[in-house]
Amino acid sequence: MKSSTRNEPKTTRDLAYYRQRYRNRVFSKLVSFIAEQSERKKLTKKDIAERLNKDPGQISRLLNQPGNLTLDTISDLLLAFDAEAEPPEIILFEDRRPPNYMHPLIARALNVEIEDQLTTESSVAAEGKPLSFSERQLEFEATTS
Amino acid sequence: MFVAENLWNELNSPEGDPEWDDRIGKLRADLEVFVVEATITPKYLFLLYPAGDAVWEIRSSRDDPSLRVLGLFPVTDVFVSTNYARRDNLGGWQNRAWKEIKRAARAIWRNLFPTYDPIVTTNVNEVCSGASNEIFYKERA
Repeated sequence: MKSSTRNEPKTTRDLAYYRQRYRNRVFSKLVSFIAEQSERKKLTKKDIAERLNKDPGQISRLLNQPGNLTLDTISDLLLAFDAEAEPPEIILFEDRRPPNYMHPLIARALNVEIEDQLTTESSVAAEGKPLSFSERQLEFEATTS
Repeated sequence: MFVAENLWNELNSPEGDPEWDDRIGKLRADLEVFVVEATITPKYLFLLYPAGDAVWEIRSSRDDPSLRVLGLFPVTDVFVSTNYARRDNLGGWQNRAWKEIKRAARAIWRNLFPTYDPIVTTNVNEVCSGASNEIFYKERA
């Protein structure tokens, strides 16, 4: 996404993308929490429905699609687990973490220069010396094996 | 996630039709779920019949038209999306259109990886390590 200049309208695609992305993130977080807690506390949809004075089918519908959630229903579902959500974290695009580095094979296929990524903050070794790409790969393989 | 050319072109096509732009923006966010979210819910990723074909679909169902992105897994957590279709163009499960897009998915895979077979399994956890436990979604007996 391009950075904003003064009053430059956002594109329809960007608006739709960020709305959906936010819905998906909230949904994912909520579903993970509910799945984990219901497993731990041995709760079923029926139990949650009873706590919220709703039909179990309504609980299913809420947890089927990100689009079915509202701020009110999120609050209700969390309250059923004696929990609440903190306000969302707001991040400026310029403060976002840099994306993952590109695999050398992909970079070669796309003819993309990857040298700059070697000197990013995350690729600097403890001694302050930037890691080479092969060193980063070895480190990555070691952490994932 | 890897995206085959026709879908990539659609995701990056020039903007024009506001309704379709809105849909493509949402599809892009829905595909991103596979990459960035810790949990994949049971309503997101489906194995298509027959399981032996190893073709899976990611559902992007909000808003209309609902879209289906087909693909296969070379290894766990790597989804190669091969093609996509509007759900309303596919009809019922026995419809010829379904068979055709599944056949197309396999053909694109074969073209991309002539000697490499996809993972064949009915267990979602073997293709996606973040697939959520379905216990919550099923009523216990």
